[in-house]
Amino acid sequence: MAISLTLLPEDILLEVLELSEGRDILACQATCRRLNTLIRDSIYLQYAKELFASGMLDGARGAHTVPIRERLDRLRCYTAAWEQLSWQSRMPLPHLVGCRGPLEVSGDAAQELLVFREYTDIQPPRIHLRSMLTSEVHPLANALPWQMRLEFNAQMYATYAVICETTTKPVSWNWKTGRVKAEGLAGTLGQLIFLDEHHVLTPDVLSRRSENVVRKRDSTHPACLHVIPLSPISLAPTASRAYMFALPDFLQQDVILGYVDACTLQTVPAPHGCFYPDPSDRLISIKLFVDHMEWYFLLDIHAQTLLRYIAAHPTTPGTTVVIVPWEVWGPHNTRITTSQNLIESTLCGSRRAITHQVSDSDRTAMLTVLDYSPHRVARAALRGTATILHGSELGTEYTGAEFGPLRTLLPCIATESPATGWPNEVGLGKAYICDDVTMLVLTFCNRAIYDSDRSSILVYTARSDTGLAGAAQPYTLVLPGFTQEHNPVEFHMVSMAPRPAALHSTDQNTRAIATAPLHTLRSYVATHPGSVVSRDAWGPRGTRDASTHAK
Amino acid sequence: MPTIVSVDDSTVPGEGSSRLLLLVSSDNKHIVVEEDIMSRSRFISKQVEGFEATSQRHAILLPFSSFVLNKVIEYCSHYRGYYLLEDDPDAAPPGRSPVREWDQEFLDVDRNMLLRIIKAAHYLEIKSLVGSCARAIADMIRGKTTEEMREILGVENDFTPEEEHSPSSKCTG
Repeated sequence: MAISLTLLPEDILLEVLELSEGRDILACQATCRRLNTLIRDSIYLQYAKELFASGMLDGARGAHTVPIRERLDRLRCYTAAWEQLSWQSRMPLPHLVGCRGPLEVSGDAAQELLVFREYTDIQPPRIHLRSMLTSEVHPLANALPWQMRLEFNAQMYATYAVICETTTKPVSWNWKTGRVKAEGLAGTLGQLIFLDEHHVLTPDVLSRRSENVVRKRDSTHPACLHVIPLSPISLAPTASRAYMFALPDFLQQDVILGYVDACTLQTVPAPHGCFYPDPSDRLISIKLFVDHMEWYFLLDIHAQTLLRYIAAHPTTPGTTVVIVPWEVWGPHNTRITTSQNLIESTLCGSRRAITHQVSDSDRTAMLTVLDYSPHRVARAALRGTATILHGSELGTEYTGAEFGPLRTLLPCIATESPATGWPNEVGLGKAYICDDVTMLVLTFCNRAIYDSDRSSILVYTARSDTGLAGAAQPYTLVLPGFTQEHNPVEFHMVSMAPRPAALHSTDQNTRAIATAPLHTLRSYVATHPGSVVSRDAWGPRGTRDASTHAK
Repeated sequence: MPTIVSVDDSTVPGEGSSRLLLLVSSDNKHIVVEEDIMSRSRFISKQVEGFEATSQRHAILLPFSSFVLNKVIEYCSHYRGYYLLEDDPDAAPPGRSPVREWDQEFLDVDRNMLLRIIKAAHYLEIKSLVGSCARAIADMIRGKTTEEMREILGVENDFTPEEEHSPSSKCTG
């Protein structure tokens, strides 16, 4: 005779359920009334369920100090803030010591490392390895072992950093010792990201029309996303096997340039908050530029999709390259759109924030957040409250008549709001450093980068660490070491958490000016909701160029 | 029927330090076991304390079969003399830890047996064994659909059709 689990005492049932994962608790709740009630009445199980449904994981370093009920409240607050885009309008602050703006910022919040290139007219441009705590030169950093040229994109993994330049091949080096680990990591272009610790991805799209390399595209070497396994120790490519995920046919001849966009791969959860996003939901995005076109294609895909394919299809000995046809990996797992009407888009975890114009005639800036987390998409589908985009279709005006329209099916949730509070002239922007609560957006208020006279870094946080009341909390950060001339740099940190109380301003004439210390500010914000901060209060450390400005 | 058996301490063979207990299972099997093997069980320890207070030693009646009881004794014998954090009443409850390898093999039994063992372990208040069984059950339902879970857990769907299709029973949070 089969014994029913429900005959067991309640505390055993709870013990079993507490050891189960969020997904299983959800399924279990629908089995029968007794389990349903049991789960509904347990705060812990509610929290586990909520974590799963919102694609988050418990256990960021600060977790155990907070009771479960409090964690659950903060989580609900956090997810609601994102669902309603209830961030507050940013407040423009007096500019600070500026160069012509940091460009191409990257970094790793877990290591408090900020890497950016300074925009100057001098060649070669300066690359800065700064500490996020002090914004001084990172104490552990060593000088860059070679000179940078123009475009760059840096990716961090533990002590290794990879810097890519469009004109040379990517180089990985140990940013602490300055030793170059591997040069010419990938194939062709200076764009590369870590999919996980053992794999890098680079768009391998140089066509014969490209200026630098003449290479004919054919079936043995299609335009593709090239995934290369790395030796875990040296971070050098292990030449044994590589995967080429071929791009759709219509792109094979025309695509000339590919940029990859993704959050830095985090090796440890951020040191604050109670929960953090499930890293396996991490989205990567590839911009594919087409010859003679002003716009580009955007291909969004989960890093896990490629990694799972690779895990499920090991190479046979002797094979060096596996070509995966587009039909096999692409249509169901990607979403391809074009950048028309799009001002700029930024990535944060599994979300993409897009600023765009309403239309050609109406140039009002709109903000759309696309959320690709499979957990949150599934929940939104059940609730029926959000707009879900089930993929996207490119018409023949993009793909060409001979190829026909292209449908891609990766679903996402779209939340749109007018970009109120953003400056109307919101220009090019890019997200650089993200952790569970922070999206750092570098915005050039002027459309043309090199003529930019005002650029700013916006820091958006969906705050899980306080989840309390308050209004917009502007904080201004300074990167010291820049000379202030005509090109002020602004940084804003804007809270995502809905806060009913107004901003308490003790002294309207004084504004806090920090030196780009994300963590310092974040922890300050956590303990001092909604206040104007005098410089002495928070920042004796590393405020070399900081000064307070009277408005 | 209260069976009172007095166990003579002098009859303990070999290991003079440990006294014997008489455990009686629901199928009326009498099992003699050394006391310190069973000291992992809070229930038995409390009984023994009671014996010491009244200086009378009873047989301990247990509401499960000798088959299950023997299994539990096997577990306790294996960990005889070992310190397990979960069984320390003074220790803070441990977080999630991997199942011990031996336990994994020990609990490789059918689901009925697993549920019987966890019930017995709960009755005997052996926290470490309850924990290992709970993990084994959690592993059984991992990744299963609601329908499959009903089968594994032996529960009936007692929702009305309306409830079943309402979002609240679908647990969207």
